[in-house]
Amino acid sequence: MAITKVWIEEGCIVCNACEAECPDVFHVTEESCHIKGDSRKDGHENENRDEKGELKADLQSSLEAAIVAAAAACPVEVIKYEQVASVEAQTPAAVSEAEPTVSQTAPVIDADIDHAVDAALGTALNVPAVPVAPIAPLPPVLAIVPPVIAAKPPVPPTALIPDAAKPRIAKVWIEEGCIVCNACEADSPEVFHVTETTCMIKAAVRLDGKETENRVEKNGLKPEEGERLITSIITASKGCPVDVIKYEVLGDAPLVEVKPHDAVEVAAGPYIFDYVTAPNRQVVMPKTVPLPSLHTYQEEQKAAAAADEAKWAKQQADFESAKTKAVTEGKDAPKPPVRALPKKNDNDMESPAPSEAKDPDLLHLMDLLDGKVSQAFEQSGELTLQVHPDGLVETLMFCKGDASLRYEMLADQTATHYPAADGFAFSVVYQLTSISRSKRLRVRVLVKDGQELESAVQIYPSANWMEREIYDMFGIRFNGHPDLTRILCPEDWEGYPLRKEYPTLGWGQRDIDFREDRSGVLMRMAMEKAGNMGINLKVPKAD
Amino acid sequence: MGMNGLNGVNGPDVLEHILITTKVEKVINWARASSVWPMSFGLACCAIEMMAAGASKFDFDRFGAGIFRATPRQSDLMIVAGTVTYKMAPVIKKLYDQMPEPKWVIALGSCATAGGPFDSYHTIQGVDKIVPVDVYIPGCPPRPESLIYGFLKLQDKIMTSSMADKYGEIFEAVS
Repeated sequence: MAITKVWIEEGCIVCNACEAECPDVFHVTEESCHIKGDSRKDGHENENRDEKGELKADLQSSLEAAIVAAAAACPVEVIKYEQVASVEAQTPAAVSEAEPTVSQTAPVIDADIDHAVDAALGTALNVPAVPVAPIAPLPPVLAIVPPVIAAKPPVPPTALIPDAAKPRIAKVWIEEGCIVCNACEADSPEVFHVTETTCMIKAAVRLDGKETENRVEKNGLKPEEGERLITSIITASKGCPVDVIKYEVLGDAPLVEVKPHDAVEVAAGPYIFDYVTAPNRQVVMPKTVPLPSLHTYQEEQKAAAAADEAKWAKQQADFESAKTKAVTEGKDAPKPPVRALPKKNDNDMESPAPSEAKDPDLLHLMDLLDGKVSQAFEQSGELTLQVHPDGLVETLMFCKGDASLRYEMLADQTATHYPAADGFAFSVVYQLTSISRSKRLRVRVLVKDGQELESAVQIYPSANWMEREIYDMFGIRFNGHPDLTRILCPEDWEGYPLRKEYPTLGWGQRDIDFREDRSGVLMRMAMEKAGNMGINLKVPKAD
Repeated sequence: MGMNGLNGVNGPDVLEHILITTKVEKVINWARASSVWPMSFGLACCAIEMMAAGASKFDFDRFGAGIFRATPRQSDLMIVAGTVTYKMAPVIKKLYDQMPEPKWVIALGSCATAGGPFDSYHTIQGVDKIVPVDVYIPGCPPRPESLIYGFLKLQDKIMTSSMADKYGEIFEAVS
């Protein structure tokens, strides 16, 4: 084996790695790498890219190992060479037997095809034949063998770094699924740039100087940057909530301890889902009305009275200061302020104010459920009893079984989401009806997100489907329910649609598209698209 | 009877009176358009109007479309009458696939046409996302007259249809 030619393709980063491996052939200048004139037959010293001058015969075998090592060490792989089986293969007589192999690229082939196409076109169009340059004689077999280096175990990366001991990041890229959370940019602002739709690898640290996700091309990092930024890149990769930052490390990666990231915690207000399945679906949380209750009403009244009082106090203080000022200036004193009467409220659509519980049913229940009632109030003739979740089953049993209450029917059971509330997320409401007494009662419990309630099915069988619906729409689970599955949405639905943070248009479920297509292309595309969105488009099986 | 036809009258003259010359395609289209059997299949309130169209006052059967079949295998026409939900979409697609060729689809009402008022997570925005639609009928819900008018339009379409219409698409898709 011997190397006849060696040249430098475009893209040298002047890293000196080749000169360290093979100083007899390579000379790294300030702009590029040159093949030394001493080693070449033509004596020129340049990149040898165009003319491809041969190496001196005595060097072809002796420097082979060094050149191969240098080509392997090149971080941007611009060192190309032509390798033949032996030096004798160079002689024209021996070409046919020796079967020289062209390593990596064979520019001769391209030229040949171009000429052939030109010639064919010229003939077809009846254009006067352009004299075609004689085609260079090809070696008999042009097997493009994989580079010899590839078969060997990779050369230790220490060889190509000036400071051999230090590990570095060779490449970093972003897989699909970025949720644009800015966590990586906070960790490593020199490498990552988060745009509105995805995360980019910055141009400044890349060899090709482009700013992309680097997913397809997987361009390398500049060696010195990869070495300097190794810790921050690994931190950013580990801190990524959806694990889309991938990297290749040369050498031993340092151990990086990663704290849970603050940036992922989403602030209140308009926020972004951190679901991998539905990125970039922004949801503006609606302002929710406060939980209607006597406490809320009393607090509102108190706050309004205090605000009124403060306003009056300020008016008086302003008057006093104005009066003193007028006296010192010798002017007439201003008129004393008059306290404004409360505005006449002519809003006849306003709901009546809640009042303390006076109904005998409520008082009786409060006696029975000592300490488990949080509050009880009446509002426009409707009775509301709010109980602790622990006392829910007891309450319902009393309501149904107590001789003086006899609420036989659970007319409705539903829930409301209060995303902005303190201490609870949902209120679950039981609307009870007493047919024998013609009376209605509302029982209410407040639950946190993830908290389970006891099922009411054993007491009121009609709770069965209503609890399934609450589970389907809000994700509140009920203990002891005989069959707690989705009732309205398909079984494989994702998310709970009546939660306030659920996007009105869903997570793309309705965007399915399977028009008639006989070849199945549209269906396949729809399934792929659905897969990207994390939706399972299974067709229900007939029983 | 010889070459001179019936009773001594010249053959071609008499044949013009007792024969109709036409194209096979036209005859087939005429047969198809005159007995389009819809499928008994309703999704929401538009189905009530469809039933009214089938009942005695409007009498859909006058146009050969009165026999609502209980199975897709005997139906030519699917009248999608109502809201198409995400949960129902695979069922509709399956029913459509089970209908034998040639088959036609009428999207009845705003929901089946474009989702209607339900611009929401669970509603497919028009049944044409699932199956090819021949006639769209607007309205919420459309009156039975609208359905009959839409059906007459479908008959026109069937009468002017050709084998090349259907299979031309496939050839284009393949080439």
